[in-house]
Amino acid sequence: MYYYLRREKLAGLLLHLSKEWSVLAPFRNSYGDVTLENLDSVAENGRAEEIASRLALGGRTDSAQLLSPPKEVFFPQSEILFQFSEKGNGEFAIEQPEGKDDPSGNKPKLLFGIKPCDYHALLMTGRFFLEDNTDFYYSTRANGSMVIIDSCIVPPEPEACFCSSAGTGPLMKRGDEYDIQLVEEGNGFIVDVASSRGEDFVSGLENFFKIADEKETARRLEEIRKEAVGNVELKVDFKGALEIMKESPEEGETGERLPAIYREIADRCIYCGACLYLCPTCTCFNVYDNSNFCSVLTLLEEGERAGERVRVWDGCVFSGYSREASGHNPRDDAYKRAERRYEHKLRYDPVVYGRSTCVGCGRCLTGCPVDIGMLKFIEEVTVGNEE
Amino acid sequence: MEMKNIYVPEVADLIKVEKMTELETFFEVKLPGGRDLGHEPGQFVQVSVFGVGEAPISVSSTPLKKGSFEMVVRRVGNVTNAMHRLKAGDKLGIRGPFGHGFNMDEFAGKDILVIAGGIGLVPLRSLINTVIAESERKKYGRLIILYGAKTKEEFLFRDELGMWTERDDIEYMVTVDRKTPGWEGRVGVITTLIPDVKLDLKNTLAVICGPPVMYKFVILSLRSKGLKDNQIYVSLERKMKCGVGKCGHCQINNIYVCQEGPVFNYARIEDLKEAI
Repeated sequence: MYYYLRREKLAGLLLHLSKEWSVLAPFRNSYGDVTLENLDSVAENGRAEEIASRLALGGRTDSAQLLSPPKEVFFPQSEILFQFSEKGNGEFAIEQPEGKDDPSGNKPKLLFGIKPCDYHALLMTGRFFLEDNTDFYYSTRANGSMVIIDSCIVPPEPEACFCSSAGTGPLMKRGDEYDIQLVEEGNGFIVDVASSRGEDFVSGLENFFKIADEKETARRLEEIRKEAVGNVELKVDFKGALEIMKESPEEGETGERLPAIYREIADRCIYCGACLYLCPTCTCFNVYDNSNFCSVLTLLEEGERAGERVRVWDGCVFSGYSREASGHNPRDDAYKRAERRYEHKLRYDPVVYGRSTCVGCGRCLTGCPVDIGMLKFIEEVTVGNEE
Repeated sequence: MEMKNIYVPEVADLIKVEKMTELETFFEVKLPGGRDLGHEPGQFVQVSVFGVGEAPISVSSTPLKKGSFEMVVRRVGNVTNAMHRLKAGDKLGIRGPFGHGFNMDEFAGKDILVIAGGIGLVPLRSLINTVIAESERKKYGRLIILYGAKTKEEFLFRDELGMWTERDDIEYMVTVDRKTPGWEGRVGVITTLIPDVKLDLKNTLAVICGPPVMYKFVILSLRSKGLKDNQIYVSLERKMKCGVGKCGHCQINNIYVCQEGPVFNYARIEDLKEAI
C-alpha cells in the first residue's frame, strides 16, 4: 500500500520509533558530512528540533550520500571476536562479547533513510555473511533489523554515482526485495510499503502515515521514477562491461585492452585502500590477537595473561593481503592486485551471485586520491561501445 | 537454538612435541575428551596460539588414528614460530577440520602416484598412512611415492621413509636437490624421478603437494607421460585467516581454497589464471 508522511512529522516519528528500535538515520555533522548516527546520541543534545535540523533525508531537497557505507553497522571496521584469559593452569577460557560492544544494545536496528544503492549492497553483504557458514557477529548485529529506503530523485553531490546503469536505483521497483521506500514529494514523502513486514511496521502508526490513493500514487511514482532516471547524468555501459569481463581477457580486442588498463591502475594506485573501505560490498577482513603477554617473540609481563582476537577490514589491493608466511605471494605484482579488484566485482561475483557486486555508489572514485574508480574503469573498458 | 560461532576455537591439549628438522617440528594434539577430529586426508585445521594469532595447518595423521591427530609445522611466521616454543602439556586452540581433502572412495581400486616436495609430504602423509594401513591396503592398487627434499637433512618422518623402502607394497623413490655428506641416493629436482615410473595410465591417480614452483613442472611431466588432467589432484596453499569462506584471502577467481580446496582435481582449476 501507499501512505504519505509529512516532513514535519519525521522527528516525532523517529523519536517514537526509538522506543522499540535502535534508530540509525543519516545526520549531517558540522563539517557537512552525512553519517549514520544513532538517534539516541543525537537526541541527547537536543530534541525534535535538533533532529529535524540535522537529518539529511529527502531524495529531492536533501539528497546526500552517507560518507561511509552502511555495511559498518553490521560489519564494523574493527570488532572483537572473543576474549581469552588464562585460568592459571595454562588453559585459556574464551568469552564471546555477545554484542556487548554493539551501541544498539538489545534493540533491533532500524536503518532509516538508506539510499537504494546502499540497500542493494546490504542485501549482498547479508547474503554473503548469513548464508553458508553464518557469521555470528554479522548475524547478531543484523538480527531483527529493518531498512527504510530514501530513494534518490536527484543524485547526491558530488555526482559520481551511476545507479541507473548498475540497476540499483534511483528508486526501488515493486517486485524488488524491500519493505518500505520513501520518495520525497511535496512537503513530505510518499511511503511505498512493499511487503507484509512493511505493513506490520506502519500499522499502529496512523498518526504519522496517512493512507494515500493507490492508483494516483502509483501513477505519480512512475512519473517521479522517469524524472529521477533522467536526473542521473552519469551513465555507463555497465552491462557491456560485464559482457567484456565475462570473456577471457586474453582473448579478442577488448582482451588486449584490459591488461593495459590494469597496468595503468597498478602504476597509479597508491594502495591506500580507501576504495575498499568505502565500498559497500567489500567484506574482506584480517584477524589478529591483542594481548597483554605476547608479542611476536617475548613475554611482555607476568601476571594474569589475557587478550582478545580482533578482526579488521582488509583488502585485496594490499600486497600483504595474499602474502603467505613463507613469503610466497600469488599476487606479487601490483598488476595482479588491480586485476583482482575489478575482476572480483565485475567478473567473478556475477558468476556466484547472478549480478555484479558493484552497486554504482561511486564512493571508490570520490574517495580515491588519484582518481581511480569503478566508474572510470567501466568507461575505459567499454570505450567504443557507445550507442 | 544457540548459533554456532565458527570463529571460536576449542582449547586442545598438546600431548607430544618433537623436533623433526632444523625448521620443522611434529605436534600431536588431543581434542577435549579425546574426540576424533573427523577429518579426511588433505584437510586442514586453524591452530591458535592465544596472544599470537591463528594459522592454517595441514593435518598429517590418517583419520584411522583415533584419539589424537598430528601436524608437522615449519617455523616461518608469527604463529608457527610461537608453536615451536610450545611443549607437551601446553594448550592451543583448534578450529576445523576445514575444506575438502582427498575423497578416498575415488582412490579405491586405483594405482596412486604420490608426488611430494619438501613439507608437501605433510598433508600427503595423511593419505599415505590411510592407504598403507593393514585394514585398508587391499582397497587400493599400487602406491608409488616420489619424494624430494633440498638435502637429506630436511627429510621428514625418517622412520616412516625407512619403512616405505622396506615394504614390498610401496614403490618409493627419493631425490635431493643438493648432495650433502653421507648421501648416496639420487640428486636432482623431483621431476627427474618421473620418467622412471611405469604407470598403468588408465588406472592411475596422481596427487601433488609441494612448493609453489613445483606444480607446473610436475604437471607438465605427468601430462607428457600420458596422464589426463582429471587424473591429477593438487593440494594448494594460500593465505587464510578464517577457514570458512569469509575473510577473502584464499580466493582464486571465484573459488575459496579453504572451502572447495585445499585439494583440487587439476581439471577443475587449470583454467583459473591465479591457481598455479
